Parts: sequence; C-alpha cells; structure tokens
Amino acid sequence: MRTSLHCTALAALALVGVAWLSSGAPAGSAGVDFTFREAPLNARGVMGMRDLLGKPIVIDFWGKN
Amino acid sequence: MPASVKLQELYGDDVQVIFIECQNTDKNTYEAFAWKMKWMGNNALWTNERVIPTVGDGLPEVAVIGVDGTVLLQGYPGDFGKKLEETVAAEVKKSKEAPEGTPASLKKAWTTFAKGDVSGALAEADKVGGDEGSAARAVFVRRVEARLARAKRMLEMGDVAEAEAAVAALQKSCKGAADLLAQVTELSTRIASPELAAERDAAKAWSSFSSKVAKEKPFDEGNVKKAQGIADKHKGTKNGARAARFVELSKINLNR
Repeated sequence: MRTSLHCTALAALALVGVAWLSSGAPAGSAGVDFTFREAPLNARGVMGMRDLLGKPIVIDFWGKN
Repeated sequence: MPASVKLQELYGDDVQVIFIECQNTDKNTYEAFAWKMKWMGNNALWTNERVIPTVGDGLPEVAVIGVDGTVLLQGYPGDFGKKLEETVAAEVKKSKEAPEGTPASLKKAWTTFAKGDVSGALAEADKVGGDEGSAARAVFVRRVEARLARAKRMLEMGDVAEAEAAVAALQKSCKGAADLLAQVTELSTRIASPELAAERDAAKAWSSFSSKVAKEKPFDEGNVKKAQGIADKHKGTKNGARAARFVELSKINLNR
C-alpha cells in the first residue's frame, strides 16, 4: 500500500515536471524551448522557439478584455 | 501592448514580438480586435499558447528572452521603465556579435556569420580547425538548415514573397558552400515553379492590401469590399482564404 502511494506521488511529481517543461521555463533559466501546437497568426514559417534561435524575443501577455 | 507593437516595427526582423492572449478569447475575436486596434501589419506573432508561464497576478505582463534563449526579465511592463527597451537594444547588438564565451580564434567566424556570409564563416571555422572549429561549423550549418526549414514552411503556409526573400538571402550567403547551396537552389526552383504562380499572385495582392489597411481603419466598408474582391479573384489559394477570413473577422461584434 505504502509503495503504491509512493509510486502515485512520484508519478504526480513527474506529471507536474512534464507540464512545467512543456509550458516553458521560468526567468533565469537557459534555453526556453517551445513548439506551437497550432501555427501562430502571422507565423511566416515559425513553429517554435528553435526557429527564432539567436534572435531577441519580446513576449507580451495580454487580454482582450 | 502598443509599446511592443512599436518595438516590433522599430526593429523589424531583428526582434520577434509574440503576443499571447491569456483570457481565453477565441482566436477569431482576438485577431479581429488586433486589426481594429491597428496592431497588425508587422512581423509580430499572435497566439494563445504560453511559450513561458506568466509570473505575475495580472495583465499586461512582458518578458524578454535573450539571444541565448534565457529569460532576461519578466513582469509588469510599468515596473521596467526604460530597462525593457535597453535590454532589447543590447540583445539586438549581441545578435550581431559572437556569443559570449566564444574563443578569440572563432570571433571572426561568428562575426562573418552574423553579417550573413555563411561561406566566409565556414571557411573561417575551417581555418581554426580542431574541435572548436568543427563545433562552430556544425552550429553554422544547423542554423542555415533551420532557416531553410523555415523557408519551406513559409511556402507551405502561402508566404511566397517571404520564402522568396529568405531563399534569395540564403543563396547569396551560401555561395561557395556547395552542400548548403544545393538545398537552397532546390527550394528556389520550387518557388519559381508554375504551380505556385496563382499563390504568388494572391500573396502579392493580400500582402499589398493588408499592409496598407493595417494602419488605416481596416474594417471600413470599402476595405472589406476590397478584401472580398481579393478573396473572389484568388479563390482556392491560401492568400485568397486569408482575405476571405478578413471579411469574416470584420463581421465580429467586438463589443460583446
């Protein structure tokens, strides 16, 4: 029972880790990597951060409302 | 928001601005809103996928990712004052120099590469030789191949003029690098093929229209009629579909 709880906890931690990695990395960490699931508007061939390697990127989080 | 639009328009292709809508507004509505606010007509990307997580409790929030892929600053734009513009300017400068920590022997190879002379950069890396020279050569080749892959995707997306420009730049910079040049020439031949003639015409019409109306009143009746004309004339092309989409966006009630 205890082993099974440990396994569940480890699996949950792994899932959190995967979610964190797939959503990018926080400030201070090197090498933000991200692939868009759907091409952004005005993509002009950009499907992920690798396409922008060596170029400064400004991200503007906004809301229509 | 307008500050990021200005940054994109000021730096053109040297900087990539990515607008990320964070309030679950549907794509059509936020695109229509961006047109209405005259924020379109530049190189900025628009998405609702979070490239990095937000760090604050509210919007707006801004982040700068440096040339090495590191998040350099992130938070409420008002907290940064001039630091934001200064950070972007410093990174643009860096993007034209050798990366930090590059051995002195490879600096010339990197600055040559940054100037767009791929063949020259490869020759410089080969002159240095050894592991360092080979590693630099591999990076240059990877970056050119990434640019080629992007140009191919541009073509698939209907951005014919952009693909053409990217390939022309690569053709110039890869003269003398036979392997790379062969790949570039293959793509160049594809772009010039008669099968792409209709898409090329449509792209020209849409690009000319969209860049003109972006800073006017995009959804004015006259502009919507012109867009419909492009959609009708270039039916069956990706750019004709863009014009048709513009017409649909103009019908969205943004006051809901």
